[in-house]
Amino acid sequence: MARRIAGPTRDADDATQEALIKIVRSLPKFDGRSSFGTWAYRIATNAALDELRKRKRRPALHSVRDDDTDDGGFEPVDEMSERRIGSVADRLALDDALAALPEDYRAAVVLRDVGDLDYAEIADILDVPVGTVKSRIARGRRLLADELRLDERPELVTEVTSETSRTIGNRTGDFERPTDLT
Amino acid sequence: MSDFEQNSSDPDDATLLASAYLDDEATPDERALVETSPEALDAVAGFADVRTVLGATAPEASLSQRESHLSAALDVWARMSDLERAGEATPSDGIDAAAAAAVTTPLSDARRNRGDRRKRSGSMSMPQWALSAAAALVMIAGVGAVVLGIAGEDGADTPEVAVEEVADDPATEVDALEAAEAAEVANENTNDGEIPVESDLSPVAAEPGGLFPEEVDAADAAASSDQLAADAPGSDQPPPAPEIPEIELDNPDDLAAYGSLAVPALGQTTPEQPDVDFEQVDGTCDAALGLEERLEPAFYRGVEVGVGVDLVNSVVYAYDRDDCSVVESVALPTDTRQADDTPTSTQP
Repeated sequence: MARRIAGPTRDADDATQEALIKIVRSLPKFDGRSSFGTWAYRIATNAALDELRKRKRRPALHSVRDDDTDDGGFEPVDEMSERRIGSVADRLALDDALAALPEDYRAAVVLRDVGDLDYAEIADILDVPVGTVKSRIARGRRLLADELRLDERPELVTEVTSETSRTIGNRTGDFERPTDLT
Repeated sequence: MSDFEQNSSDPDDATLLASAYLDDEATPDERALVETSPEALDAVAGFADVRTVLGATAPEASLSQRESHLSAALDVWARMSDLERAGEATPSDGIDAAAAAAVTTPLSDARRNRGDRRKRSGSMSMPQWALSAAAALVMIAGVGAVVLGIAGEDGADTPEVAVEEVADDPATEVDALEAAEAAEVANENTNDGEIPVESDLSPVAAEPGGLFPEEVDAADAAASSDQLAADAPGSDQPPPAPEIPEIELDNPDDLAAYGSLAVPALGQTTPEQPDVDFEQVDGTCDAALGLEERLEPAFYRGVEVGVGVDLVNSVVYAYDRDDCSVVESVALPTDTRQADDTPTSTQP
């Protein structure tokens, strides 16, 4: 989550650590008005956005991809899917497309498509109306689709959907087009 | 032209509909609108692809990184007090530094350097914390002294005011009153009508609810009252440490004389009584210098130092409290050492 919002940099790692510490420190003050998951996501999202804003104030040289390191930094949960889609070019294309999104759009899309939260939860986390969440997600997806041009690389999507064993939340990542169009 | 195209002439609207449809957030009418339009379904399929790729390739931290993050968070929890865990107090900011210091992830060179900086800052956090605690104690003592002074000017019975605020427990009230009485005697020995600004925290600490309200029990209060009563004029006991705002020592002789104050005080200290005359916060240099007793920090030739006494070797040390380096060391005065060598002669 943090890496998708803050980008493929070490800032995401810092954001994750910061979020966990804030969660622990704020745990006694958690009042249960929202679910614990929503509350924790809110802290994590804010931490990631904070790191993003800090990075914007820093020279670009401080933003170093983990791909440049020898130890790799991150490792995929699903190695098979990573192997399939894991060409550096594809990963960089995804990262770049996400990085090109306005941060408000990015947070909404990531919370929906990576975090698998519903609109109401995202609205609670981002502290915006549900309608705003809806439009941010839609516009973010449109920008990503235009940038990634996945329609020109159907093999990429096919490989991911066929090989991955990781379900995306309560969805399996597949969209079945209705056949009885009237 | 389909209904979808007619009703969503704005491309943004079409995008909204397709996206909401994909997320199952569309109304039945919107769903029907989308499902009757191949273009809309194409848009939905495109968004589904985006979602699939994003979700399936979301990078996650390695196990070691996750462990380090969790250990840092758990370390924060472990350092929180019960009050903080109960939500009755705000966790101190120093916890973050401690948590940062707890992170030990295998890292690349650049990150390792950053981690080293964190570790260094973490290693410095303990003395800084101790200094902060000492500063807080000084502030409490200062506020207490001002309150005592103001109450004295108003004609109020200063010790009783303090007791009324603290001795809510009837069981400790008698002992607390005794302590207040002794504090009153001690107060008379100081400059009357003048607000004392003291570096020596003993009078404040001797009062119930003074420096360590939760730690001073009735026995301590009684012991403190005995101690203060013994310090009254006419007593055979040696005089207490001088009450001056800042102790300034100009030469080794001053240092030796100041260090000697620790020795007679030992003879008065009972095992049950906290040795409130001496600093009890910073103990980091005890082992390094072999100190048995520490006095109030002082200025030695203009430099702030800790002062401690090695009773075994009869040496007084002025030392840098940050790195425990010895600024000056001098032997205890001979008469003091004799007094120290025969502490049991006064015992029956």
